[in-house]
Amino acid sequence: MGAGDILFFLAAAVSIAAAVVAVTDERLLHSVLAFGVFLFAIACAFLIMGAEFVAVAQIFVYVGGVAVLILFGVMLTASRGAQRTVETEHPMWAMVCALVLAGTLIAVAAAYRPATAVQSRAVDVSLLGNALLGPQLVGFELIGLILLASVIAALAVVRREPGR
Amino acid sequence: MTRFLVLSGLLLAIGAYGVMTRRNAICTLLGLEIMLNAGNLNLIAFSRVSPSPAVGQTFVLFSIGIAACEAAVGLALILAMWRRYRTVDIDKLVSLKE
Repeated sequence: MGAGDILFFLAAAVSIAAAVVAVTDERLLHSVLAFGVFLFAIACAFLIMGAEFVAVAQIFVYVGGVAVLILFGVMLTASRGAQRTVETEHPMWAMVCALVLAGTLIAVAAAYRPATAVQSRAVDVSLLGNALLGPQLVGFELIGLILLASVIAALAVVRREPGR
Repeated sequence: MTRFLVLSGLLLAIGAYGVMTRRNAICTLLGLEIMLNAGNLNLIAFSRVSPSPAVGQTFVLFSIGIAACEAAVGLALILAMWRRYRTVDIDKLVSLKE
């Protein structure tokens, strides 16, 4: 077992443990903080797979943006006792569904054999930039449009109506 | 390769469990984000067997961007819900049912 294997199992264990805490902890704040740890572990998995730029983007956008945004959402919607109102319902049936889903996915993954050899070296950032501004240019431009539209939509939804 | 797919499947199931069981809207959003990350993990894993891994990785960059949009709009909706109903419990939103 090489260093890469140890790193992978570390990242996998941390991400699964943090995800379980994020979906089961009764306290909302602990859930969000566990979600932050989960995002870091996923970034580590990206690094192990040689996707360095994507790992950094994950930390910037997810940990720096989405997790902080959700943390603000928790603060803004917290009333007295609201931190504890995250009780769950039908955990048995949800557990059965989740186990069936996990079993199916793992069976499919175990049966999968890649047709070509797996490349393990890191992707050069210049290749990624050429791909973004070459074959994926339309998507790259559209993502900016979607970001702008979603920011405007978010502002429109939370805007206080005048006179209220 | 296979182990990344297995990890991604497990994380997707954990996220789905969170979406199904949580009643707090913010926690449902957390479950959704966990599922999105599991999908991204799969995309990166499959980009390594594609002829051009860089193009595969751009999909994950787009997916991260769309997830950021989704979180912004979702939180705006949750804030609007909090202002109007003073609750973030998705089981209490029943005005369409009545």
